[in-house]
Amino acid sequence: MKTTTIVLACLLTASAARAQDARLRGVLDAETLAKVTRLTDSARVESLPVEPLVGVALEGAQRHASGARITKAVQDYLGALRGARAALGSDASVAEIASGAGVLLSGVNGDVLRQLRTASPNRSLTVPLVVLADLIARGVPKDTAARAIAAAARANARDDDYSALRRFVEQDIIAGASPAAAAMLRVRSITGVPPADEPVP
Amino acid sequence: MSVYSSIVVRAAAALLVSAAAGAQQTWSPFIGFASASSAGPRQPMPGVSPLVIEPGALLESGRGSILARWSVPVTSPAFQLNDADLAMRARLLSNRLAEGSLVATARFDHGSLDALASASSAVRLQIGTTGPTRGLQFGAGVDGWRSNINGNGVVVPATTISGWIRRFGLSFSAELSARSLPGSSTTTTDTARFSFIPDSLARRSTSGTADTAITGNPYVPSPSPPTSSQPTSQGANGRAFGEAALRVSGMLMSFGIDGHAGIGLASGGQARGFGSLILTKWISPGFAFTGGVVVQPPEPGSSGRRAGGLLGIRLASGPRLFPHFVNAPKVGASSSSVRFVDGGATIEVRAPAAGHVEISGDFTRWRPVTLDHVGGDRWALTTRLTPGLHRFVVRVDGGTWLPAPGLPQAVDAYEGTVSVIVAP
Repeated sequence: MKTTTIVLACLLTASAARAQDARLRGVLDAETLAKVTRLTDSARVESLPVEPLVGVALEGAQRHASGARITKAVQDYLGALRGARAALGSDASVAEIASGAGVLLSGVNGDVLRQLRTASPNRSLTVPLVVLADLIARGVPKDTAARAIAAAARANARDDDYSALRRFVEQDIIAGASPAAAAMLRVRSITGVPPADEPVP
Repeated sequence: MSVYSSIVVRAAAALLVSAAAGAQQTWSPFIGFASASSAGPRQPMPGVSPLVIEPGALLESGRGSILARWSVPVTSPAFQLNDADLAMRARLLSNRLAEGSLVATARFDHGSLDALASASSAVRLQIGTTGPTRGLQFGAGVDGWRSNINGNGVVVPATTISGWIRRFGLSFSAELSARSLPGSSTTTTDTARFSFIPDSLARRSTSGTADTAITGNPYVPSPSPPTSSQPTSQGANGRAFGEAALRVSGMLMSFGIDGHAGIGLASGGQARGFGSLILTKWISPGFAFTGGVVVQPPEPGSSGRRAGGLLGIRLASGPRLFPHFVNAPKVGASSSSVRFVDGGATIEVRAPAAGHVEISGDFTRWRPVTLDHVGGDRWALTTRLTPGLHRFVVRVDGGTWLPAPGLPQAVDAYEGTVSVIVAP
């Protein structure tokens, strides 16, 4: 029975790998495909999300990046996924790890993720991390954005609060406010006090 | 001149290789048919050319663009004047804030009646700021000109500063340029070109003073940057020349607009104004009516300006407009927005003058998907989005993939810039 289970698991894994190869096969050359497949296989073995890695490879193909460049980008993303899980803990969900990797790749230190986990040990950090990445994309300096999200986490903000923060900052920026000022101002509506002026990791 | 020719040839070759090296290219052939007329102070012969044919093509990739065109007035033997343009731009550096590029333009015209021929070219290295709505560029290089009238060639250093903004679907640009002619160089005749305007032939055969006016083709929006980037005044020893030009291009109330106006100044000489306005009405993708007027500065020794007009049709594959693409922002997407609905989002892109708009992102597995034309200049796609961060780029008329203006952006793993949206 045990042997049958193992064989079935192997078959399922191989089937998934083949399906993924099919998505990449038409767009990557053989050498790059082999290297990327090794990286996605590593991610799968480590129970890390594979979809973002495939997305990075497909994006590279769309941008006509060289095989070496695509391999490097996938490698970097895999490193970020590992870093995110190390920072968020082994119990982190796939969505949290993927969001955390995006934050790390935008230049935020892994200690910020640890801070957030410490502040919200029993809540999903997917939304806060996505909002953090969004604030940085909107031009909020990463230290300021990290400070704002950390302050919100310490104030036990809910997902709706983070979504509102993102929405209000967006509106303020469109209205002409500086991204940093908008983030600092709006996070006060959640925490009631300005974000602590503590150094950001 | 041979050294300069070598520079131009090498620059052109480098640009061709650079543009062709981008694996993703867009090839857009076009052809125009027009009638043209002109009037001026010296008009010994009728200034009408009933049919002018103008074939050409635009090649674009993420690394640059190349435009080639050739015009021939086929039904006016007395005014046979062939002219051809080649304009190229290669991006050497491009990111969210800065852009550096190498620009080369070349032009040749030849009148079969009097066998006059002239060639002009310009090479510029440009660097400056760029962004979705504005940019500022500094350029330095050389301009060259040669005619078979006396065989003299002129090569002069040239500098430019140009800025542009984009508002209301229109691109507004201004350029200042300066060039000087070394004291040892002399140009002893006039070979002004004015394709489609037959009196240029009369002028070419009658004038003989030291001045040369070169302006843009009245039929096609100049393939070069604002007209001032080409040598417009050359002549006496040790003189300096400067120009200021304004250009507007884009779509306004369903009309494609390409207009420019400027003034040229030479040390010791008088100011010379020039301008043109070409309107294009696209009836359907690939088919347009076009018409316009051109005003050229007075000829040397003359007090009156010359004016010309044209009316015709254009058949094109690809971009609806052919703005002075080598040195100015292409009129692409002007703004974007995202509306979230249950389980998905509608991404809307406004792109004046667009024939088609595509999107490519993580939610399309980075494959191009054509947006639906939802009216006016609005294009939209409704798609399912999983909660979280999504990244994408858009392109207009098969051009370069760019982030959608007006949405947050991030640098991707390939040193490109992508739009970022967060699905709730």
